[in-house]
Amino acid sequence: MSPITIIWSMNASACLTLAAINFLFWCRNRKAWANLLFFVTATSTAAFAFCELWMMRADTPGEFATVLKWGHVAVWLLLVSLIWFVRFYLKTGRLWLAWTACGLRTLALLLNFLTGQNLNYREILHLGHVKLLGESVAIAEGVRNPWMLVGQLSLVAWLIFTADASITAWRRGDRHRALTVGGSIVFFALISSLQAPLVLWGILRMPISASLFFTGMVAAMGYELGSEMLRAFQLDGKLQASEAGLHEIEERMRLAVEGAEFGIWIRDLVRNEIWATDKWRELFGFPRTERLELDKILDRVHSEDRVVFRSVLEKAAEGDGNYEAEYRLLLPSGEMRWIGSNGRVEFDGAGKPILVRGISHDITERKEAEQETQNLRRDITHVGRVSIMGQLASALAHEINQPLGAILRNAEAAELYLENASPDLEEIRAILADIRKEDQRAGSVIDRMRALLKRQNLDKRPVDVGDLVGEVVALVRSEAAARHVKLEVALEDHLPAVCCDAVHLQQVLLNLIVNGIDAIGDANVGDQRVRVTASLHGAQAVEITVSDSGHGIPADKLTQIFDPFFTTKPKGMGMGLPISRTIIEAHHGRLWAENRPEGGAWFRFTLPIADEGTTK
Amino acid sequence: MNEAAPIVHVVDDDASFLAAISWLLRATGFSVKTYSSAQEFLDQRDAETRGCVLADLQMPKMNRLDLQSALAQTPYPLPILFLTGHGDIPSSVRAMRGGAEDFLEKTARVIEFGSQRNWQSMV
Repeated sequence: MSPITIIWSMNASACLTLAAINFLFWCRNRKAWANLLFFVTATSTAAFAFCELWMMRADTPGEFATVLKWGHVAVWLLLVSLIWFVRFYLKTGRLWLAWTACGLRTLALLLNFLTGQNLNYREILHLGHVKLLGESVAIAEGVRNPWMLVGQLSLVAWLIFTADASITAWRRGDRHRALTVGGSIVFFALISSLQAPLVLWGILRMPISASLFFTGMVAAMGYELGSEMLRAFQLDGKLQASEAGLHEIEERMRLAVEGAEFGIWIRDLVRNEIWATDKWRELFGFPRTERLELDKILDRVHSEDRVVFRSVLEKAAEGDGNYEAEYRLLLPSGEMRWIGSNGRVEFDGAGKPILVRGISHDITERKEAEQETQNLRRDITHVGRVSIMGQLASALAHEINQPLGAILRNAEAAELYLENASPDLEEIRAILADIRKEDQRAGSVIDRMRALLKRQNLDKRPVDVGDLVGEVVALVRSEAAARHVKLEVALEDHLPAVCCDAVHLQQVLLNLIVNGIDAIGDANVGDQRVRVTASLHGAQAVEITVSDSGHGIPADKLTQIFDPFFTTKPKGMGMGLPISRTIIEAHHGRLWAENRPEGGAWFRFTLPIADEGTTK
Repeated sequence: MNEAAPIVHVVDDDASFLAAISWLLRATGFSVKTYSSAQEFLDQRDAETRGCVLADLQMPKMNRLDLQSALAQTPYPLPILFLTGHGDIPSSVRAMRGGAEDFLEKTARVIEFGSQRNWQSMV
């Protein structure tokens, strides 16, 4: 076989192979217009290669002219497809240039069929023969068709369009594409646009071999599209890998959500649909198959919490979209369940809520524990107030009322005696003696109360300071929070246990902390905090300090505040601090008050360290 | 002490109160005998004992009911007046139903003590 046949047919078949691949690709992916256009380019290149081969082997001028005429159809297809390929692939190019080139080429195609034997020759008179690769091939000789210029003009417009598009793509930063696609097209188009006219105008005596140059473009384009397909394939692989990863993450998430016993629910506000996980349905007592509706869910919410639940959702939809709620459910079984919910409302571009996503979990246990703590706190506070302070106060009232009542009666009796014309002064003196006695009795009541407290059997044990403070702080924390007072605890590390009656000491601490909170409430200062600290006081004692950020205590009242019945509170009995001091003294400690230099007051007390032998 | 003078037997566990009420009753012209408990009164009382009883409604050891039933068994039951704490209405009512003549608030003013109609007629 001759080398020319081999080269041209190989050229054509290579183009057809690439065309077939891209056509199949386009069939699978109808949006890949670049691949379809490439298919057209490659196919018409192959067709033109056959035309060229045929012309070289033409026996008569008529045969040559006919093949050249039909070859122009291939050229038209090639040029038009290349123009739009560039436009699609580089996503740029001046439209008017594209249409000009296409228009001119179409005009050339029309002229090809309407004037002369074809676009290039009015008439081919005879065939000349030249040597190519050692073979004799036919070339046309005859009268040239001047309309041929239209075709060559279209080539120029095409060249300008492609060069312009490539430059724009290059400037845009798409250098690789601009170089491989735009650059190669411009390069080969330039060569073929030079060679063909030179041949056709009879300057070069050689056959037209434009298909070889077109194949150069096809190869460059094919390479680009091929790498793109490869990238797509790799991307697909990565996508599959990341999908697997996503699945793994989803699986982990599911595990975590299930492990944490979270129920997830999603409410689509647009379609008015509610979707929920099985766990959520279990929490809210809905069977798996039942269709969920907001009203049905609201029915399950405890009637007292329903309004709150609704308003939380509405507020979230109006505000930043986040919500958090704790509410009770009344299940059809009659069971009551506490639910904690967090969620987020999603909005569309116009700020209209479209979706609510939320997680819910069972917080019944926590709530019950909280309730219990609260009850306990109330009980202890109550017990504290009633049992020690209250009992003492009522005992005191009774003990003091008795002598006071007696004094009144005695005075009344004395008055009656004095109404006599001759009062018996002896009797009046006796009555006055009784009055004095009763007064002394009233005065001794306080002393006796103290003595009573001291005599009481204190259940002294080694107590951990942290436990002691912690328990009391836990009791008053919610009250402090309710009154916007920060409650801080700072205990020195490794404090030894102290020897005390924990119940009594809790009373003292409770009293001091509540006093501190009250002092801040009265002062209405910016920095609202009560601080409990503990540190070693010498080798034998631990000092516990309760400080507040109130207004402090007037200097002349620093000792007075420990007197019974001295109070600054409207409803105070003035017994808290005297009793506290009595308790601390019964523990062989000391309780005193100081004003902090930075404002507020310090209440400090010491407690003896428990003996080594008795420590836990 | 004048034998014919009417005697008020005061029973209360509070010595201060006993002393003070004695002065007050004496000042208004009564004779007074005091007892620190109902039992003490019942032990000292005999067939000759006259007058009336003024007793605390809330007494330790022997209570109101015991005293009332003990007195009811005697041939000459003495009238009883009870002294009550402020606002102790239910037990006062119970005392009246149990046969008490009247009751007085412990903190009553002296004028009220003196002006009680029943009180004077009983003695």
